[in-house]
Amino acid sequence: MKKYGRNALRLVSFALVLVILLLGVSAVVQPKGNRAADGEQDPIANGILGEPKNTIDVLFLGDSEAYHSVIPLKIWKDTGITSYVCATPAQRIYYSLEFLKKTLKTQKPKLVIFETNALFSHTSYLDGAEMFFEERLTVFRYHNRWKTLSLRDFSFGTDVTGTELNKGYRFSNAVAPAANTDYMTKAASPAAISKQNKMYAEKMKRMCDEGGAKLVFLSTPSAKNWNKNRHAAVRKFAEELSVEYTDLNIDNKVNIDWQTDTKDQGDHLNHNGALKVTSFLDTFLADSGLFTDKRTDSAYEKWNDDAEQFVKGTGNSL
Amino acid sequence: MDKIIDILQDINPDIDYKNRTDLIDAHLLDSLSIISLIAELEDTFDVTIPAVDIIPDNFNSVKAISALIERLQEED
Amino acid sequence: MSLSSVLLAGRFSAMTSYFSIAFLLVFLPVSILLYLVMPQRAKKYTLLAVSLVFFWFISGKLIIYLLLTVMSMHWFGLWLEKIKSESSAAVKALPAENRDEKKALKTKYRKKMQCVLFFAAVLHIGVLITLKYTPFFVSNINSLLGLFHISASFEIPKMFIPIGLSFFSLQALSYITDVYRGTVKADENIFRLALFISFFPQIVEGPICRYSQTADALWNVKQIKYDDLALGVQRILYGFMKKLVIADRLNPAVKEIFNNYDKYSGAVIFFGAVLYTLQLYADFSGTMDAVVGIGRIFDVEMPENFRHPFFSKTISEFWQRWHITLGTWFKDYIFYPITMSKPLKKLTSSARKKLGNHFGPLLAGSIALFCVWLSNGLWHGAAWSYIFFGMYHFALILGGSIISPAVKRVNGLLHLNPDNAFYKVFQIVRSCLLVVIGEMFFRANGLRAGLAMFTGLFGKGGVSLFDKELLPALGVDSKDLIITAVTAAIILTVSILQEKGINVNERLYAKNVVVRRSVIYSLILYIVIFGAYGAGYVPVDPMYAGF
Repeated sequence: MKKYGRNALRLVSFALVLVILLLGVSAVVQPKGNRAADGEQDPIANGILGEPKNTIDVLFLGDSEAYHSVIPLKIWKDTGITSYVCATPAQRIYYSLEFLKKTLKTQKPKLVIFETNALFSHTSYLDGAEMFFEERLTVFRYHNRWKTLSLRDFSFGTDVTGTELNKGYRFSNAVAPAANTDYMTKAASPAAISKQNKMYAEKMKRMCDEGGAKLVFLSTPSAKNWNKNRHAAVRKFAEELSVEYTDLNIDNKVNIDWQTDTKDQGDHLNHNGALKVTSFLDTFLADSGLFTDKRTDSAYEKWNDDAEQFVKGTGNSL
Repeated sequence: MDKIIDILQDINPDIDYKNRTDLIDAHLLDSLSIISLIAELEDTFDVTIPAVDIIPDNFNSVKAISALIERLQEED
Repeated sequence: MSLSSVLLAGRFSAMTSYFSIAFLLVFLPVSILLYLVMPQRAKKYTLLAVSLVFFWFISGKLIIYLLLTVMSMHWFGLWLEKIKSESSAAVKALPAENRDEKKALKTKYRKKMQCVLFFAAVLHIGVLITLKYTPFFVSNINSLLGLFHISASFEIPKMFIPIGLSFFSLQALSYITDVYRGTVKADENIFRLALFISFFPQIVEGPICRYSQTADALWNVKQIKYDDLALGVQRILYGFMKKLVIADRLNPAVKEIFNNYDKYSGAVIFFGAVLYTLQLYADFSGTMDAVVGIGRIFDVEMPENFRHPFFSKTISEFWQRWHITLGTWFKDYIFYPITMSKPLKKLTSSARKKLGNHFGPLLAGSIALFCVWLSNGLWHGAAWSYIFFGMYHFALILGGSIISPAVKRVNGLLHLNPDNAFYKVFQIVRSCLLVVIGEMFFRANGLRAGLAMFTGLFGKGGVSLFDKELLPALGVDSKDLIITAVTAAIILTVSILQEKGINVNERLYAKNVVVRRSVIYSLILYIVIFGAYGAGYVPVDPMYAGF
């Protein structure tokens, strides 16, 4: 028995020192800012970290469906409500949770809107655990920065001030029509939300409750990814969670024209489509009565500038 | 024993067969030499060496080879 | 998701790589813990259960092939043993003076055993050939028909090949042959056979173990000792470094050069062949480090598959140092049985008298050698490029044998001492060069591409080695190449030490705790920081699992 104790001690001491070393290396390779130039892998979504404290009213989470559908600057221009889209390509819910957590540290959003496509992404507990460790022992995510390390990386100072003009929206005016406009009525393969995804979504609900934010599920239009079975599955799950749910695919609520409003045959919307979705959100957010119009507030002057610059830069309206 | 050494020297004269015990392990005898050696051994001692017995242990030293031959002669 | 789809599909195929997180940080530790807490009596069964679960995780319902293989081994083994005991009983029953009758009886039973062995071999090889080569045969028949303008082409069937089939079939066959030869006794315990075949670290990429090497050690496993655990983990980490820092990093560059070789100059194609050889070595030998390391944890000595192959002075020596267990398998079960067969023995005897000691056995030897290298090529897969790869090495080894007396004479005339360091270096460089060319054919997308790359080696057009566009096109940067070179230098240093007879792993473990742990921590951090994983890298499947 004594031998077991000694060996256990050896193993524990070994692991302990290893963790300390990994934390040390993590501190070095961890990007010292939130810009791409700092080595941040998702600079657009992480742009929220550079927003002034407690200035974001609404947080959007989700995968590419979210960042191709929601235009925060339009919401601002129309309603004076501030929002940010923390979406990344093929974002899994456990990664959404990390953004929610980061955001709640500096922001007090009253509303968190989750785009539901990610509920059907394949996830595993192992992937979730990997993400958990990556967030804490960041060397596993940023180790490749050994190639670009500078002296500054060996100091403690950080400079998380990078902002994104588009507040997480990704602009595209490509057009590639979709053929299957009957995607919500025709027969579809059965859809089920996996146990893992439900667990992560439940956690999202708890975090929102604790952070004083209301969670809302939103399904943005996608002829490729959505169908009636998915709608039904999310509807049921939203009821279980007592979360408000809106599906813009049902009855083509925002009048998407699949000839002109999609950039890739119904997978994602283009700017035309996003304008339609955002118009709906304008009303939805204004009607919620949770927010005040800040367009004339001088502290938010920058938002007006950004909106203007977007129009100038893209040649498209908001 | 001497007969075996003669055969070996005929195949490759540059090796000190008397003292080495790693003829195979040190790759002093390659597979072609082994074929030669076996053909010669079979002729000389009138035995049949089956493929089973072609393992390093049986050919690593002159002593081992001679033990193998003796065993095969007895079995016959 | 229905229950059957969960049960029947290999749902954890990621674990096919022993360096996946799922295997290294979940499956292996859980297995070890389970093993630790089981009572001594149950440990071997735990190991067997864990092994079968592992195979089921990666192959799903295809585990049936493994189970059938075990049953076949068990059955054929006992059958052969039965004939053998019948034989000796019958021979004993005869009076001692009837020598001729005894001999005839022995021969009769021997014949019977040969039939059984033949039947077993046909069965195992048959399954292997049917599963692996049917698409190849069908597509060749189709193109043959095409030559005669017959359009009735056959549909190429899709085969479901269980992972590791090429490895465990050879292992099974060697066991049955060994029972036939009498080098091992048939095992009555089917569980011991099952563990021998399915032990989880060896099932994906070998090594191809012999019954006499691992079966008993696996069946007599004891409680894990701390020293074994530490030594095993050290060995695994060393392999992990090879795989994650070198093999996975080189993948995009190798892929690019082999897929678009016509865009590049000869020097770049050669560079690609060198990188591929390095990648294959890092991947395969790194995996073998993990296998041996895991075996070590359970105090089971797995046979080594590599012994610093790039120090070889000849191609024949290379194959005694690279994928050793495959080479010895071919030697013991193909090469010697063929050369020792009656007609070839006769050929050797008569040829020796006419051609002398060197060229006499060469005739029989070359026939056997041809069979070995044809099998070797085909074993790697059903494609003309693999057959060519086998024939390439056959030609090199045979050629080496043919000219060796002449070389000796020339060396003697020039007063060249074969032990001269420069001469040795020359031989090593020459062997490496030939190996790299062989691996180029091996990796090329088909024989046609391989031959085109070979002619391309002498071409001047295309992106050259020092072109600024080269590295971006290959998807690597100069830092990738530097870290690859540094890691290769580490491996080279360790190899030189091992070549001098130093057991680096144990020598390190014998050092005091501060030194030892510093080295281990450095190695872990080295892998974590310089490993080619995460954003921007695609994990690479273990390269030999496909064979």
